[in-house]
Amino acid sequence: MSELWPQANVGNVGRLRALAAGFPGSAYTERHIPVPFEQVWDYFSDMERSVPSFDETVAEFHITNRDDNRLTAKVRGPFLPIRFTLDVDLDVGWCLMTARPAYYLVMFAAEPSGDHTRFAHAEACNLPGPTVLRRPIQPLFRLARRWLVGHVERDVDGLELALGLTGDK
Amino acid sequence: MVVTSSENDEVDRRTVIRAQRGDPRALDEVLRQLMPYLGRICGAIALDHGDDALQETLISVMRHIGSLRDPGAVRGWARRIAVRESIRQAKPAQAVPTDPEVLATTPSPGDAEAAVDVRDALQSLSPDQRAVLVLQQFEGLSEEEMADLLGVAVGTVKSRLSRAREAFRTEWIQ
Repeated sequence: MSELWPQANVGNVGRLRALAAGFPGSAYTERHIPVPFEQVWDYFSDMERSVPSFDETVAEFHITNRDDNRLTAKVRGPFLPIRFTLDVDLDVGWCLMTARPAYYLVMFAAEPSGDHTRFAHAEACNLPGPTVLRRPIQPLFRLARRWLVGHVERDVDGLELALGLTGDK
Repeated sequence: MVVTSSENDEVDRRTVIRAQRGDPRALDEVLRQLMPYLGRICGAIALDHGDDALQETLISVMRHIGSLRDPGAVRGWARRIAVRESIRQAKPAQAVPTDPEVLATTPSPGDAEAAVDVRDALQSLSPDQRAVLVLQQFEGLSEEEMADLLGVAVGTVKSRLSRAREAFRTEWIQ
């Protein structure tokens, strides 16, 4: 195959947009953040510090295992003393977090856009298993989406605030 | 010359089955394995609309992978979506093909001296013509297979292929 022929590409943000489409009822948001990509990702990828700073539903984010780009994290919410485990795939401009079991997932992607950053975030409820069993419960996921839509926006609002942006876009 | 795109982008059947069962990592793995392959098809057929065609193709693959009956056929299934989406995206801006006298073979995708002109040459073709050219050059599909994929008669494929080769060659030698 030749590299001389035109090649289409969608980057990490397009990859996330497609992945989110695989989960009915997922909530997706995309922002143009007027901060250089390196600065955004340096901050984000320090997840023990960054995630509790921008996600109102996370009080503690503790990485318990790190194997190259695969991390395991224990997460605690602000109200209940219950911890749950996340499997995290973290790469430059890409983060996929899957709860154990995989009933919930959180996705982030970023890529340079000139001197700024194109940033995407999605969350979804999930029921792993055969399609025939998943279909009946999909209306419930769509109900959950009502909350998720606002939540993903608040996450990115929080990230922008943490990066020093005031919200005057 | 036919240049097939088998390379290393075969998608593992077990990964597809896990993806169909809603495994997020498996879905992402399917995406990452298909993206370069589908990007070549979308880029060559939809040209300036290639990124949009690829995006819509990937969204469609993720949405509908659960309905794929044969997990081992994911590549051909996704290719069908990519070709149709690329034609759809490219049609509003399609170029009018030339009507050349020259009859010649299509230059190989690996022809180094033609590097700069590939896009220009493809631009002179209609999306339908680019589709048959790509399916023949990259995929090595027979005329019957192309007809099935595109939902047209074999005779239509033959005439599109003939015109594509001629137009491509004409643009190439200018």
